[in-house]
Amino acid sequence: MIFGYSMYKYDPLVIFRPTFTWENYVKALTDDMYVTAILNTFQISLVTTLLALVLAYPIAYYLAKIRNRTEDTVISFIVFAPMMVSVVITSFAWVILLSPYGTVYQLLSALNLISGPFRLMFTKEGIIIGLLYGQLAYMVMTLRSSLERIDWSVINAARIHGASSFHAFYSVTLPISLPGIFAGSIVTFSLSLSSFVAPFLLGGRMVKVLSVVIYDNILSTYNWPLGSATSVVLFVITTISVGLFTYFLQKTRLAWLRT
Amino acid sequence: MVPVVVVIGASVTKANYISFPPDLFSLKWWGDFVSTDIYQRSTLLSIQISAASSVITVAIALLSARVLARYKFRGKTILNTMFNMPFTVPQVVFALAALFFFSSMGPILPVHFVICFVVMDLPLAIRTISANMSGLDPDIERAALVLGADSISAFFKVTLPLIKPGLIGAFLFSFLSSFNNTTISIFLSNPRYITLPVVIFQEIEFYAWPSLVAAASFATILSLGIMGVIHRFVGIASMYK
Repeated sequence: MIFGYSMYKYDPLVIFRPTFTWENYVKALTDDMYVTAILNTFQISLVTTLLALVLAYPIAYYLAKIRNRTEDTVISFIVFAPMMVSVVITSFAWVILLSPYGTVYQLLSALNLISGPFRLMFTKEGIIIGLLYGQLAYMVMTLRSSLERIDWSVINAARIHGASSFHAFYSVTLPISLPGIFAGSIVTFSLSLSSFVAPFLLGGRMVKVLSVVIYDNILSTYNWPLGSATSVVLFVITTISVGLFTYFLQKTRLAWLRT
Repeated sequence: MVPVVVVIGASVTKANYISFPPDLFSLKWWGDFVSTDIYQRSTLLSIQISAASSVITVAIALLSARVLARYKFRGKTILNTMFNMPFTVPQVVFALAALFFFSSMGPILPVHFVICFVVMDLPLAIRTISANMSGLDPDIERAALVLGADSISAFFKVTLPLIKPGLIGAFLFSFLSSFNNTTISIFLSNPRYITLPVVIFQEIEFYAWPSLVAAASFATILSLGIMGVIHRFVGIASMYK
């Protein structure tokens, strides 16, 4: 249905005319604003995924080794809270914190670390912070379940045979936890690609990403055909990149296992 | 955790603008939230839609989980992948498809929200209930049958109580994810039927009045409360294995 609409021609009076045209796709793939939006979407998702991986790994590692139930509950609660609360609310909280004269600004200026308004809202970095906060939990959970399946005596064996703790981690723990790393990265990456609320509220309309462009087309300017074409583009991009991601990660994994 | 504190903290300010840390303590914005018509309407609608969709989700998930656990049949993998599909389609695209489809049949009604949420929540609910069922010994149900129970009462009196924690967990989790869903709701909402997160979203965009922070705090406290109950029944961590 979306695909059908995307072929129609936009008409300001009746929203669309049922004709057959590729012009919406041409616009969605070549127009400067759309190209920027596609690139922004990619860049933001990639950075978010990498940062989430780096931040989540130690947390997951710690949670996997934990034996104390109360501590486990408390940490899980803190990690999961952002996922349980609506993304509108967490994004909005970041707006309060990061806005030009917001809480972080007040804190930093009280410490004389900053002069002039704080610039993190309406930038890619702001969006990345918001996304990271919302999606860390997915990453922690996938990593944790793969780390929990590790038989720790294997690592002990490596240590006994004289591997340094870094070496044991790098050549034993890390390869074993790779499936978790892949799964977590794919989920985080595809969720970031299609996220809407955080980029909208934290990026304003200053940073264009695909989902915000779709929203504007559908609900602000009522250009349904163009909006549909854009969302087909987003869908295809998500599917292809998840596919490619899986493929390349499998290849690296095999290469890693051979060395 | 910081943003949660910020939202709740900012809701009790006395000032006429949104600020954190709050300027003096006051509950006036909470009063504003409780007495404003649009908040009342949207909160009520959100709760109704979420309750309906989570009941339906759990019912379908229970059936599917039982079929997937007990029977071997052709196309089982296909069915499994189909249940997981909504996870891979971007929510914006899903919402758009739903908007086009439902609006071509007439005005958007609450039942359309419910259908969308059921589709979105099903994968996780099936997974939670399946996990709970696979830990179940089929001999227990068989024993009940041998002792003279018919298959229906064996299911309701023996199997169901045993998987109760999973059912309650799946129910509450579906409730939460429908209650908090924003992306789909934004596309489906209209002046007549609008859910709480969408009202909050629009207030942020257009007015940024402190009563919206009280609304956000209400949703946050409710969500965290439900999360606590989920943890009591199934454990937060077990939801994602």
